[in-house]
Amino acid sequence: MKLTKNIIVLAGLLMISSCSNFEDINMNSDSATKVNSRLLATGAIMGIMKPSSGAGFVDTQFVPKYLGWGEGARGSQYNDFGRDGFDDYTSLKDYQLMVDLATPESKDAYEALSLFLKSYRLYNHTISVGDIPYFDILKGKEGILTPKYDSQKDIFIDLLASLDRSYELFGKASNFEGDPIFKGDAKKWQKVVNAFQLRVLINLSKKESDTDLNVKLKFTQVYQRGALMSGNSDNLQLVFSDKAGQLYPFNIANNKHAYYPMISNTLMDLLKAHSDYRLFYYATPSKAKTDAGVPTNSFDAYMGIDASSPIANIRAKYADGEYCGLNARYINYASGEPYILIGYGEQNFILAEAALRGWISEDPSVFYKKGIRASFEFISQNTPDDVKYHYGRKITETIIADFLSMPSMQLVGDFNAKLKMVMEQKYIAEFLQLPWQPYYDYRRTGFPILPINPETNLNFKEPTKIPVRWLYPDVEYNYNKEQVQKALNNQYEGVDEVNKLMWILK
Amino acid sequence: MQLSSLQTSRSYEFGTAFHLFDNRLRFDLAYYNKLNYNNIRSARISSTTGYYNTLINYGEEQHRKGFEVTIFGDIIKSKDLTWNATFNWARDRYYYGEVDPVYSTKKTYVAEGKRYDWLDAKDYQRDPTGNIIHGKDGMPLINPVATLQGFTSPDWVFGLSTSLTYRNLTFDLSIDGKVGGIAHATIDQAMWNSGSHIDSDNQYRYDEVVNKKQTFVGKGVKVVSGSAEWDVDGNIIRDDRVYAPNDKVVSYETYVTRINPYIGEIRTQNLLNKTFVKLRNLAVNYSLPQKFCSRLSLKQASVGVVGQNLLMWTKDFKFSDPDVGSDNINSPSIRYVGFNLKLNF
Repeated sequence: MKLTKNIIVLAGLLMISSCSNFEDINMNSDSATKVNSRLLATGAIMGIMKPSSGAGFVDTQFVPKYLGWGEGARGSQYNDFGRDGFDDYTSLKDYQLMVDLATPESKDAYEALSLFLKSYRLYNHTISVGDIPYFDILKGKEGILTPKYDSQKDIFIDLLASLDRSYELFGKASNFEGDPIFKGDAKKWQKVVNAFQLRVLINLSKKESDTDLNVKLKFTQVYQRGALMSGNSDNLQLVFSDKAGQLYPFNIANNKHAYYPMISNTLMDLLKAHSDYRLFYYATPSKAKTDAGVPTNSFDAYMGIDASSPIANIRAKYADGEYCGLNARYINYASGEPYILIGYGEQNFILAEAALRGWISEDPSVFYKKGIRASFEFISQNTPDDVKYHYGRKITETIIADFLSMPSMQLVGDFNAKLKMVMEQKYIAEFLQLPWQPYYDYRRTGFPILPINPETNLNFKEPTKIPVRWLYPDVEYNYNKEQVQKALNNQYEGVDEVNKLMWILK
Repeated sequence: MQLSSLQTSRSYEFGTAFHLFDNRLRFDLAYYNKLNYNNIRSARISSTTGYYNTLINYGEEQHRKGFEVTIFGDIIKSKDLTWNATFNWARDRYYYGEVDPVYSTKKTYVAEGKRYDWLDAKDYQRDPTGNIIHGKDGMPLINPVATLQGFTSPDWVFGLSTSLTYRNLTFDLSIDGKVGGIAHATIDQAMWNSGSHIDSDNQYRYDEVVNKKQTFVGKGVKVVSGSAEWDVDGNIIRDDRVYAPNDKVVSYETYVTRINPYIGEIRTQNLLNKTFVKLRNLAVNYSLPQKFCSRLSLKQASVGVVGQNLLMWTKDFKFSDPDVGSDNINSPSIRYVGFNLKLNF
């Protein structure tokens, strides 16, 4: 009995003594214990850059009808729009902290970065749902737990002002640490902000006559202030490699769904119409055709599917090999291609559209061709010269020059005909790139013409249309109900519905 | 905002017992009432505040109330034969006490006095008589907002155990069960989704796969014209839809996968009643005669057979044991059958 007692006392002593340096023992000497602006910047930039892997990577491709899916019905392919989510608002907190912790020399750069990233995220939310909480956000600590929703117009006015400020700060900022994309080159970031601001403005194309925004004048200012992207090397893009964790998101190693995408007629017909070599870099030939002896370098070996046809038909085509899957470079080549968020090619198509609209007095054709050239060059520069990635149809300078001088590629006709051509080429160039931009352009301009099948369209209220917005998040219904209700009353007669027009679309 | 003071509760219980017929029949009744308040909770808030949740003492109270009735009986008590039985019946419920005006969810079924164990899901759109509404594509339509579907706790639970001893032979039996309460049968939904549910082996599937002919028509109505709008609580605020019986022939596979998506999204036909009755324990024991034991210099010895989970009857659940509480693709409970040999030196 006495022995037992002693053991208990001893054990107790051991525990007490081992607890004294508990903190030290539990500290992982390999991980950071203090945060700084550099670390926060890396996380913040990667937070907007990094796409989801596997099937999630192609989620954005179904609404704009680039792809169908051979596995089964995907809601977005049939225009089933769900809800937006506001969870990424929490990452905006880090942006402010990044600025607060900055040294005086780096303050400008981090503040400029913070303004850009915040604008980027909130812009994406407002164009997806309409009014959003904007001015009263991130004040949970101060007790503002139910932020009010602000009008989309006020948001756009502030977004443009924030981007001006970000542009100005990057202009005088020194280079900063923690940037995995441009190694902290403030001038490169200034171009990104400039190009993004052009995107924001072109998305206000229906608000040309709004005198508070003065879109046209603002666009000219941004165009002329001397920070245009001048090549694909200015792209805000994420580059992939064969290093661990850096594989292309749709690579077979990340992906159980690599062989389900089926290229649509929408994309296929646009490519075939001008014998576009990009087809051979986007697709694999149809098995049914190659089995019948059609050579893989023939345009005839490629066929699209109608992404709006019933899933049973699509699955039958899948089973019979009557479709084209994604090119092997997306699946088997570790680097795939860089993932562009804001790009030089996009900027040129925006400028072409602005020139068509008379916002800038330039020849739209110049930008239109620069945009197409940027797309060809991007693909050829990022793809190894291997027949398995281009089926012998290699893109060369001659091919690009010939393509651009083809009569059918010249920008002619009335405004609508020209706009259609610009948007079609923008659409082709943005395949598997620039998340959701092709949809927003379609929503705004109606181009390219996407297939809508009333028999399969899950937009039941307006079966001849693709929805124009997502619904507000469930979490807002449950925890910010009064405010979301007010926002619905102010914009959509109190009803959260996918066909209601938000302010920028009116 | 007061930070993390201790959670508090108050409770009271009334109980009474009657013993009749020389203690051969005994009743025990109890009522309890417990209020958990000043609860510490990681309360969800709108992420536009910059945070997902906040750790606070919040005003949402949990009120637990219940009854328990137990009857014991020594039915036979003689030298060679004894037989006794215990039966109990209980009801245990959680309700909301006060709800927190800021932090409690704004769902309409969260309010003082309402049940705490609600389960909600997005139901099919239904016509005034409850038929499932189909769209032009012949597929059922889903409500945009989740509504209350039921409660997860059972209405009541019961147990019966009895023991019969005749000389050296003892026979024990216990049966118990729970009645009511719903759960999402994820196994059913996952099997329907992947095509491995046994009931999917039917004529429609055969026609589609083997005869290459679609023959399935979803049961319910279809919208001929008009549309509807809902408020944030899921109530219809405008509806001019006109219906006709659904006659659209569709792919059975597409239909079945549509009404049984990935299990993260509940479909209401897979919300099943958890009612079950279980033969939890059955045992027969024989104590070896004292004479025999002493010959082997043993104080006591017995042999027996015991079985647990030998039988279960369920109302709805087929592929998992509703006794576990929730069906999270869990495997059925294990049946034990054993043999006992006890030697006491």
